[in-house]
Amino acid sequence: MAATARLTEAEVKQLVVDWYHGLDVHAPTVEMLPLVAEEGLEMRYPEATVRGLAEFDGWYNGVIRIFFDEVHTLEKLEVALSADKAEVKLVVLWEASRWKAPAAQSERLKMDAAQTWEVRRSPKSGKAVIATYIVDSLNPRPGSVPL
Amino acid sequence: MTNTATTLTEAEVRQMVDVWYRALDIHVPLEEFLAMVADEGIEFRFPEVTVTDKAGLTQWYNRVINTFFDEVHETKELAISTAGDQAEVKILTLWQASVWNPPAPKSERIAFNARQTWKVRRSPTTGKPVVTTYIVDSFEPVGGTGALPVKEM
Repeated sequence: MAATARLTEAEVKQLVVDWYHGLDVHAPTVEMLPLVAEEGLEMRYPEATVRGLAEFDGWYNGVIRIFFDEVHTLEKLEVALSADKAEVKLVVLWEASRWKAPAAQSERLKMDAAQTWEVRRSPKSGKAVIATYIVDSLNPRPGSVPL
Repeated sequence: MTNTATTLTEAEVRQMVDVWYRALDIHVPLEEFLAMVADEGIEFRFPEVTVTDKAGLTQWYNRVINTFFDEVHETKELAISTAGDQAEVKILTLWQASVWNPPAPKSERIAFNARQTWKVRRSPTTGKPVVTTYIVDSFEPVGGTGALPVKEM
């Protein structure tokens, strides 16, 4: 795919699927990095804002050591394509466990996360990548522990 | 109970078994756990290690509560023979627990049937029943459980 070709909705949807699958299986960092922009990456999470690949690497390798048994279920997905990018509005149900030794019990989180992504085509790989990732809201479901 | 010479009753020992497993399930502070064990002359034969003093038992307990979580001990069989201020206890407990080794994506649920023989006596200092000997006679995995994970500390 030429680096200048217009993004398709199918490509963007596949990126969303690959992203959440990667998070669920704790994919190696080398498999997650090709899903984000090499330049200008910005990710705003509730607990931190991550800029650039080095910070993403640090954030990712932190969260996969905090959370496990993760399940991301996509509940809503809207893709708006324009000439050189796509805006993605989505809602994902994030379920995860955490355990801090020597606690007796693990904790289960169930949160609805509304997010806005900006997706671009990577000039390097030619593939759709996340350039901006903003968590607009993160609402715990009944029975969930707080983040 | 303060009379150190009185006979142990089956009810006391049964209560102690319940409290013991409840303590393991909720990861009670070390001091509470050690208070259920005799101060001297102890032997604990676990599947992975045998300890004969409270220092060894402390090491074992700290390793266990830093390895396992969401534990459930279910007593399936319990036979108590009392003799004076001592008792022998035969137990079959189903132990279930979870383990997770970061950054693995999934935790693992394990289950074992453990047959044990305990010797319990009344503590001369507290007057309460305490474990002096704790032998795991057999330790059989249930379902798809593999080997017992033993974490380096």
